Amino acid sequence: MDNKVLATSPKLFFGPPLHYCPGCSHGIVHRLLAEIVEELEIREKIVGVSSVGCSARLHMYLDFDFVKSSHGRAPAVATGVRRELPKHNIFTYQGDGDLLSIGLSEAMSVAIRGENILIIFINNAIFGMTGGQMAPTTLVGQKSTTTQNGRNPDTTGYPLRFPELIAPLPGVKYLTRCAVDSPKNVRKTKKSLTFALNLQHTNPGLSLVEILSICPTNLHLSPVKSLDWLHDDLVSYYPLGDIKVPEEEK
Amino acid sequence: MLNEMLIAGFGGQGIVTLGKLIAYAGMLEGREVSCYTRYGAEMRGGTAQCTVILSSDAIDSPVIDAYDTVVAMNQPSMTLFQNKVKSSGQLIWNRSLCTSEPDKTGIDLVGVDATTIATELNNPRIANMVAFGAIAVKTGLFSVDSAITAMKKRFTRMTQDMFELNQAAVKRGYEKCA
Amino acid sequence: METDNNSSEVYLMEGNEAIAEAAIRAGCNHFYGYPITPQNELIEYMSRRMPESGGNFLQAESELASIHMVFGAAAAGGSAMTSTSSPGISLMLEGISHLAAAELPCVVVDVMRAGPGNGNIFPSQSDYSLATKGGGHGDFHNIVLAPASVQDMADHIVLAFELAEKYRNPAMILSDGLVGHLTEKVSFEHIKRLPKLNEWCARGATEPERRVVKSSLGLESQCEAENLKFAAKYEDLKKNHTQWNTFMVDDAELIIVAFGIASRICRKAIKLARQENIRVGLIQPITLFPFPTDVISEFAKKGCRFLVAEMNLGQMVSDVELAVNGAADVRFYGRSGGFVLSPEEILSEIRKHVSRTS
Repeated sequence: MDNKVLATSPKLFFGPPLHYCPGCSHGIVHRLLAEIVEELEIREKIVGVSSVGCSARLHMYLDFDFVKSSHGRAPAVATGVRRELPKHNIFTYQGDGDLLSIGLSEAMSVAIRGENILIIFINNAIFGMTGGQMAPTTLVGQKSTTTQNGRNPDTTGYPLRFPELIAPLPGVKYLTRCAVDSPKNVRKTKKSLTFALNLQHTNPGLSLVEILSICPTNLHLSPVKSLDWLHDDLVSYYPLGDIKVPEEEK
Repeated sequence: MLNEMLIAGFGGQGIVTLGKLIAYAGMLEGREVSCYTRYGAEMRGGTAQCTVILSSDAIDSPVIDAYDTVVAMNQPSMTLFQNKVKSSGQLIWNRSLCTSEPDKTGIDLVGVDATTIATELNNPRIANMVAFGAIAVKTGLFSVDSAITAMKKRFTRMTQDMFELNQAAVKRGYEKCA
Repeated sequence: METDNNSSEVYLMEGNEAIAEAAIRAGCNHFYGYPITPQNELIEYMSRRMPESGGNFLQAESELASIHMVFGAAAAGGSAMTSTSSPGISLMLEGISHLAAAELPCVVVDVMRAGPGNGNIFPSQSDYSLATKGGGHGDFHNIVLAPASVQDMADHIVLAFELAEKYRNPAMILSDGLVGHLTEKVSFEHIKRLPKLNEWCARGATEPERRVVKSSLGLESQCEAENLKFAAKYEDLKKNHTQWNTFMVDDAELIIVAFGIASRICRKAIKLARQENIRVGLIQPITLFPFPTDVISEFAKKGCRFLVAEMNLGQMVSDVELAVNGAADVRFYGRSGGFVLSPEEILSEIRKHVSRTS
């Protein structure tokens, strides 16, 4: 009997078994990156900058060059990498705490400079690795280990929609919000990431792809219930779709 | 040969510029030079002090306690630093901006109407260049030609008119003291 | 650049400018910095000269960002540096520790001012302990050099890049506001572009084996092994690159230990003391880490006494005491808060500690 290979794992998706919790979205995005780098044939021409948080081990699963940054500084590190390698594809991979809490100054500054990098922003509205504390994107009323009665905007402010905040800046070229909660949305996310990487050659500037994700462990919900929370609660505060696309690319 | 000099005045009087020009002129004459500027915190209006050393040998400390020459461009500097002149040293002071005479004895007192002369040239801000000329002749550390060459080398972005005005100021200072 | 002297390549420059020019000539092609007094002339000079020479200059949003831009550039194979003054160094410590852990070569210039806190902008040697004892969290050291003249600024930055590259470790130039603002003659004629190896850098995976540059050191046994590897590097550094100057030490009964600008002020005081027949000399550490322990120890055993002179309240004293190891008396004289030592005050201090021979 002839066996036909219908699907396989991308070659660049390698290393030890993923350390992520069941239902975590990181694995999906990692795999997308492996597929994209393979399909665009850019392994020799891409450097990723990973950060701190659950995805700190990103470089262990993707078989291309990485620079691992300290907490929140990935955009500054990527700036140095970019200046040394002007023709490469450069991206950072950051969670909500890394990008918008400790690293907000660096994130804002690359947006102001229009640094030619892609920020892949994983928004699951919670600190994962440290055990479920409030993130800048935690929803109002959402419980976390540091907002045990639910996030109170009177004392902690409101969750941050970062792409909307930086959209007016001229150096910011492409902003979109995706989710990895359904096969359709996963395909859409892949398209957005590919588009953003190609844009680095045709229309240099800052791109940011925000990916709504789930952390079932810290949400204290099953993976399936977590996905319900994503499209019921998260999407209603963080609407999906393009926020900014260069005129000439529309 | 060793001359340890202090130049002092208000911030904005071109004290630092003058110090560096003296160092440059000294360098043109083959000397070892150092010029240390102590800035006030603010860009303008504070006090400015510049220690310039010209020597035939390598210079140890760029900071010193007593000076062979003190150039005081205003009253507070004159009052304060006349006592820092070594015995048989010299005090070159800007008479135009001082209301009293120096009272230090045993030193060579050289009053120069630097600001008045500069004003006669229609630019009181170049009093430092008048002093530059006076320093050349009174210390004998460098020639007036080296002074002019130093200006040419340092003032590369200056207009021709402005350069000639500065040059005239140096020459007036030189002639007044020669 | 137009020469200031037609017969040979000699310029009249400030220390802050000379260090920038020398760095570029040695092949530095990345500079990231943030304005702070008294090092602004350095970043201004870089902003002009770096693009002219085909390198990268960027005024970063903070010192924290500067050092991480250096991290990125070094990780990708660039020859990178930053500069700041004392309060800015505090902000950079995080990045310096990560650079050391990731074994990335880079140079950090500290044009020291008085501290702690905002202190003031006047010259000081206030960061000796910070630079030599740690310079960030974790088990590591910076290579630390202390220039005393404008020519030293030029020469030390080249040496700093050389050693940083050889040991893949951050090197720090511990300068101060006086040397930074000092104008003296300087020559760059002897400075050659340094070779740069980048087979370990993340520049895109052109080989089957890809490269990861990271400061995470693994679990206990791996992390300890890394730390032991770093320690071995420092031992090698100590053996091969400890540098110091001596001055009039041969017959000295008292030896002053002073680094950077303080050493030159002490030289003048020593010459004045010698006119009074006082047998005093100088040991000037050029590398502060590694510290010239052996030479101090040698003179202590010969019966010399020591006077440590610094523009701080005695941060180097413990290093001298360790070298002396109880064999001799160690005294201290220093000024803090932005006061510069003067030859006269050192001279009167010398007089207190010696007998006179006629």
